[in-house]
Amino acid sequence: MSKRLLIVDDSPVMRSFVRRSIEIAGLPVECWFEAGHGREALDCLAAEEVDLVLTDINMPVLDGEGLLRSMRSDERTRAVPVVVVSTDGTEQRMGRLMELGANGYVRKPFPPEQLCAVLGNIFPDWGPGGAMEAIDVGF
Amino acid sequence: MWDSDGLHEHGFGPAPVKEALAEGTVEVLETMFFEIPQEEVECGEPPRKGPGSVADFTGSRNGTLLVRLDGPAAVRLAASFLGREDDSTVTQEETGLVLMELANMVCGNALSRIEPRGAFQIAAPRPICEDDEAEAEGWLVAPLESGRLAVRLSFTDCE
Repeated sequence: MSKRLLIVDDSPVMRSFVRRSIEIAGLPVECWFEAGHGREALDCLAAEEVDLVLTDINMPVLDGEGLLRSMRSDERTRAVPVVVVSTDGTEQRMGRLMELGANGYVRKPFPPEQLCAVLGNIFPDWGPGGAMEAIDVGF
Repeated sequence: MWDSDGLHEHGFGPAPVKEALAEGTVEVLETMFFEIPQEEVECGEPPRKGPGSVADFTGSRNGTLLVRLDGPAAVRLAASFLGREDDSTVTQEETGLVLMELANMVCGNALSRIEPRGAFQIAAPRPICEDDEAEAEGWLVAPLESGRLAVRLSFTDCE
């Protein structure tokens, strides 16, 4: 049930916020990985087993869309779920990312429970009846 | 050029933009910083000097979003975002990083409301010099317990 999560965002304070949202929700995470852009994320994915990637879109070097394309074209990472966490809430962008194979889309700003609900949809053992049962999500 | 305190220029009415910027600012404050403005977000005078950040955007519209705060408000928002109860534990670098993320989120939120079918690229936000005097007009101000947060959205093109 415990997962290995990779958070990809060029903002270290946003990576920290995402991690804290999940930690406070009590979702069991075995190992945290962080990357500042898509290239670093691909390096991490090549070296580590990761159960889920949470990624921003606008990043230097390789953006979230490029990361998603690379992951979906690589046999080793094709099945790893990807949740996009971005300020870009335009229909066009959300639609394109979902077409490319994103498993969820969380628009910033987001309440922690919204992020955790998306994760619960991806990992049923984290959803209602699983790790999220009786969780009081709050800061 | 149109800004959030401007008149109807280039056929782009300011009322929906003001509304979108005000609503976007409040949503970001409430959701990510756990701060509720003490009064309505309205046109007003920004802090003349103080910390802030700027985010440029291109795409369906081109322009800039500026945020500027009173010093104590900047530190309080940073502490809230970072989950710190004690403001004195927040470094200047951390405050700067949080303000850049604040500009990013307010910009993305407002643009998504203004043009939900549009396409935008928001450049990496950057800090503004605390000693640079802010332009006097075109700001929406959110009064917070610890000081003012001012936001200014300007477009450099037209439809």
